[in-house]
Amino acid sequence: MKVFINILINDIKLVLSDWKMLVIIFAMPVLLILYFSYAVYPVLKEDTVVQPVSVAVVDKDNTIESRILISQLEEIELIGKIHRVSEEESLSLIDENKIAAAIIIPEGFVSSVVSGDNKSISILGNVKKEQQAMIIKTLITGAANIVSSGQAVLYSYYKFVNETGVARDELNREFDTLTQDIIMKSLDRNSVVSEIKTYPGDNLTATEYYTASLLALFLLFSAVPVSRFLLTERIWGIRSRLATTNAGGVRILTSKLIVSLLISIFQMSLIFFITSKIFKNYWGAGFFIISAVFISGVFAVSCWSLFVLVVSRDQRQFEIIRSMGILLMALIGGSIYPIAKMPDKIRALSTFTINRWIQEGFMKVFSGERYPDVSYEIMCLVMIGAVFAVSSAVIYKIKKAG
Amino acid sequence: MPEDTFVKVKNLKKSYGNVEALKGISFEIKRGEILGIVGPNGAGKSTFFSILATISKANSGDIIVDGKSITKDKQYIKKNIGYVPQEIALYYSLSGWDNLNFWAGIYGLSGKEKRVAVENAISDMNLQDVIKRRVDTYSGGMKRRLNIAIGLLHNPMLIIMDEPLVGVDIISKRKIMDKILKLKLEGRAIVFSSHSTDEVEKLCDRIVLLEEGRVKTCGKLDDILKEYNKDSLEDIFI
Repeated sequence: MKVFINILINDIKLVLSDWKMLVIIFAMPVLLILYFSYAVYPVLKEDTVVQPVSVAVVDKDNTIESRILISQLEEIELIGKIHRVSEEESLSLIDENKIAAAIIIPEGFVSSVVSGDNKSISILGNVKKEQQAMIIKTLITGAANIVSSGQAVLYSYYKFVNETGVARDELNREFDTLTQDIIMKSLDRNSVVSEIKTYPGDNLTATEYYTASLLALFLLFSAVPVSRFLLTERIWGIRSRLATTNAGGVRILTSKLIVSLLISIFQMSLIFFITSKIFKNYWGAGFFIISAVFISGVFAVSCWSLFVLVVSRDQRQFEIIRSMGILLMALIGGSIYPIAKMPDKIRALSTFTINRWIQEGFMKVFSGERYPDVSYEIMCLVMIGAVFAVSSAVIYKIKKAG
Repeated sequence: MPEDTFVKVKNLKKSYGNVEALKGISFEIKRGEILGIVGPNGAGKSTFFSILATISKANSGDIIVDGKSITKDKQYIKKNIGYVPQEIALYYSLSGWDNLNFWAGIYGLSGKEKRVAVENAISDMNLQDVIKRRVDTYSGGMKRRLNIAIGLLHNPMLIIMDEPLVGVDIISKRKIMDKILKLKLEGRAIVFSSHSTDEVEKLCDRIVLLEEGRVKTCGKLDDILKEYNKDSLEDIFI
């Protein structure tokens, strides 16, 4: 462990002592910050994206159906936190500017809907969050309209069947069955929606797509410090000298990988915090999800760079293979031309590119969901990285034995 | 193996594709002896050094160091060898002190032992005045001295020096040669190579002359000169 820490400290010293490297480490994020903050400012501005709205619900009816209604509200992505409180407490929350609106379900609301009397749901809006309060009002009005439509259907059905002269008992049974059916279908609407699957790129704007592709390309260059150190060590004969000691190749490479990840985490933090906190750009998902995509991307890229280094004979060959590799991945992986528009074969081939998965991870980040599921993209990146790492180790051993 | 034999090279062979770099070489190195390895380009010197320093593997044959096989007890051998490569294998953007500390850590030294080893290396190679400076500000001679100091940090019993005096000025050369002779007197086995026959004649107790991957001759300088009826090593090459 002492030897590993010694290598790690030395690698960090090497980064800090190389001013050209420091310029690259700082300049790359600054360029991206400028891009985010000015070029795509109108798209990624925080105000242009609707944030989840916190509301209070005052359930004066307190029936099973009213509670189902509230749990349905919780499933709406637009609604963030729901405070189940009394009317007085909801007023305090509005005063404290903690909620956008309070939804008040009156006593006897559910039975009034069944009888057709329709007691009104009240909405108390927060003046300081006028836009968000309007969204809640629109949402509830929409829901009320659906209820009215349902009532109209039931009424027409009841009237039609009644005129056919069916016995009252049978009519009531038919009516109950239909009512249950409508309620069950409306409660089940989420599973119906979840069957629709779209390609990640389809619901994003071109700017969002190319912002994700720019980040993917940025990451393809993130292994520059690692490969540069390893190459320099090889050229200067340090690698051979290390081979005469018990330092071990795994320790040396792991240290370089950690340094690369540390640099990338630093760059990512710089980009994220400056763009979101100072320039108020909206990233969609939270910092940890973005970091997870970022770090798995850096891991895959570093392992790929290691592979290129191992297969190359000299610096010139390394530079050529690396540059051509980046260009090819950019082409096939959708960083230049949208992947959704590519032929099936190319799209299948892109499965093996690193930038495709980084890009898709970031597209999910930009999709507006606070907690998008990026586990598949992360898994693909880790697997690609692992394949390159193992291949590098095998080729290195073969070359050494030769 | 006689008691004073520290390294025994046994029928060592190495090929790169169809090219046979070493065609079965055998010789011994004793404790407290400087063995010079000489030969023209392509004779197999670098290949031999690379196998002895555990950088690459032989196709067949073995090297026994202190009774241990290089193929079976690599870790033990790595711990006991000091390698001074032909290239100046240093981190140029770090100070000399940082370089020495890093390599001392790599050799497994820590705490007081590490501090003492680094301080000794600095004074042995007379680098006190420049040790805190970045290596890229050093002269060629200073870099060479630091390069050698690193190979000796952990007091190795076998020292492998592949052309350590290339590009070194007269004063630095004298200091380094004195240090090598001092190491010999301490009982260390030293394998030394140089293109300068002058350096080999001055420093080495015995000489191995390699040619086309074979040992052409092996023995004391006077015996070799007698064998070839020449006045100097240079004459043998010519």
